[in-house]
Amino acid sequence: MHSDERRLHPFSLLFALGTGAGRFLLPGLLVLFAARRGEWDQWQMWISILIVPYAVASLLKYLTFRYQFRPDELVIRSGMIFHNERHIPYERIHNIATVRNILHRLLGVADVRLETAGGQEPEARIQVLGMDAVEEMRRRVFSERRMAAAAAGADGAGDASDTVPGAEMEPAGTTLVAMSPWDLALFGLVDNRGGVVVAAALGIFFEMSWQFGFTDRWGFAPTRLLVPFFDRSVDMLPGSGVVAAVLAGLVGLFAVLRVLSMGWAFVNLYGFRLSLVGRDLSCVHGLFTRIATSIPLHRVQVVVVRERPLHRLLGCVEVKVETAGGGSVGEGEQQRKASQQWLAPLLPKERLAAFLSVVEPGLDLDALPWEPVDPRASVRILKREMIGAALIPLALVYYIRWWAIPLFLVLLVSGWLQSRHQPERMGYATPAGFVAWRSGWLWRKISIARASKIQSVAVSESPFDRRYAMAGVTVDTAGAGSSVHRIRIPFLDRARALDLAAALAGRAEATEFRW
Amino acid sequence: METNSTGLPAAPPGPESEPVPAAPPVLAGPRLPVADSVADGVERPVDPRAILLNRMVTAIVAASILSGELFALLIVAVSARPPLWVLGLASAGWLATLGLFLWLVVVWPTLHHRHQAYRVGAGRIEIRSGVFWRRIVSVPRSRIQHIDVAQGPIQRHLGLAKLILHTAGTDNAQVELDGLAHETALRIRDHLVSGGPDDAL
Repeated sequence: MHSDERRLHPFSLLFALGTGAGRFLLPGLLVLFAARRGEWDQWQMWISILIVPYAVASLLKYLTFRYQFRPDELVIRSGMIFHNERHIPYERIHNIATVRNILHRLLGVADVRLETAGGQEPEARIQVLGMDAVEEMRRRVFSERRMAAAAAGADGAGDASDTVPGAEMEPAGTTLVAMSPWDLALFGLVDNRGGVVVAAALGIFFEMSWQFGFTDRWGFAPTRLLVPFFDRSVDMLPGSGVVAAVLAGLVGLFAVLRVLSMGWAFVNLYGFRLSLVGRDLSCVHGLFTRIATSIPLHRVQVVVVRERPLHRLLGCVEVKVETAGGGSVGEGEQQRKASQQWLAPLLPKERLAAFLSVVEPGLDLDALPWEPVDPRASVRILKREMIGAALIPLALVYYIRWWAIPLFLVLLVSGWLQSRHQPERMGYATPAGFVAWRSGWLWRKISIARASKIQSVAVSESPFDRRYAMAGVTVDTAGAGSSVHRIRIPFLDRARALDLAAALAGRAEATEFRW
Repeated sequence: METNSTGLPAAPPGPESEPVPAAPPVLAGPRLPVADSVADGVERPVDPRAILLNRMVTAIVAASILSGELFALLIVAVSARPPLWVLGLASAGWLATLGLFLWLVVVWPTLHHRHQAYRVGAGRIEIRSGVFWRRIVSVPRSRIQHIDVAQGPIQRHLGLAKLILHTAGTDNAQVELDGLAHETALRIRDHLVSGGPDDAL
């Protein structure tokens, strides 16, 4: 029972111009226009000659794209000269993500990405489909997937699911997290994405200032702009000029960064809504570009809960998830797509335990049997901090001169405080089926992973560890590339470390891992 | 906690304590008996010829670096005619590099070999390595995505091989064990690959 072959939405042509080689088509046309007026160089002619066939080829690829629903798989065909046929079994499709920027939304289309299970499974990006075609795809793929799963029997995800074979529509799902604009403003305040915005802006500024010659004699653009500004502000402030100006500058910088951060949050996370649909987490967010993805619960590798000092002030936490899985034909497993996504950018702390028990069924955050690290950890942390307190001012003394002494004192005090408080906040827990690790005094983090997601366990001893007969245990998981908090448990008594590693490896052995 | 002489705890009784069945006779080629000799949970060092391998590789690297340095030194001495103290300093540097490589060729391989061991149990493999920064990595059998047995030219000449375990992890996406005898590496691979009912893939 094959369906008819479907084509891309007609507007795909428009979007093809915006991506990849299509990007060269418009500038190429502009160059040709310039050529008419006689203002062109040799190289521009060559580039326009070379680009046009390339652009035409990629346009043809979009024009010849077609897909078809077969009983067990989706078949995608593309290409006129070089034919490509891709078969994607429905049961391998774990996620149909849509990305819609303003143009997509105006025209009622979406950029669709099919994400698949790990291994050498193909995936596909379809640009663009109309929203009704997207709905049809979702309906067909997920109902087939559910039927196949029901036929094959329950999988090892660990909870009873309410799959309805042959259901036409997706169930509505329960909303877990919904962020209002006020929540987003708070998030922006806490998170400090302003740095990202400023870095991007600085990059653009540097580029443009090189173009227009707006640099000082060392080629450093911002000073030409900032120094007069600084001078003027020093004049404006009464009294002791420079110090006040520096302080005001810092406060101003802080404020500007936080405002930018709130803007970033507003644009990227507007309307953030996380819901549980069957056994998938469905996440929608974005103001101009709307992104809709779904994360099957069993693809969650590690859940990371973060609590900055500002979070504690507001009584909130941030929950992120590390997922992995999905790859393309020909890629090695090192390039397997891994991502860190927000489950809850800002969540009231009292709701955390309930939230986690939904995301990781079987986890009871409040009842975790936390075990502390070895008490000698505080001595070791103190030593480490003292060395840092001695060396860092020494290294910087050329630049900051006598300011090195207060710096040294500050580092000394902070090091002592850290050695007192950090070991109290460090702990690990190994309840049935999970491993958890928490650390951090002011910036607190908790990482939780299922035993079935443990890939390997390592016990490591540095020469310093050996002096104290201590060791550290590292739990390796998939997709932890840019993790903020890897499960690395230091400062354990050596025998305990070996026991813990053996226990965790044993649990990993006893469980099945699937992407 | 009972430990054997190498410091690793005695192999805990695994979830399956019955002996691992021999691999099914599907593949062509001689299949050596797997279970008893390899997966017995006993920790053993890698092949002693690994020391020779290490020495040979380091010697080759040392020879090329040292000769390059000497060549550069001679060219500078002849063409630029620097003062004597600069020549003395440069020669001292070259001698220091020579000393370092001598240590790396003579002392380091035995030291490294002494701290390298592996243990294959019923459901996992543990690899111990490192002299100053020591590590013991445990990889459950069900988490191994695939296994490579690799041989460079010197390893082929000495009859050694390197076992590379690929996992889905990030830091330990690849776990390597170098200096195994070739047949041992093949046997370990066959044992780890031949699946039980709890295999993931």
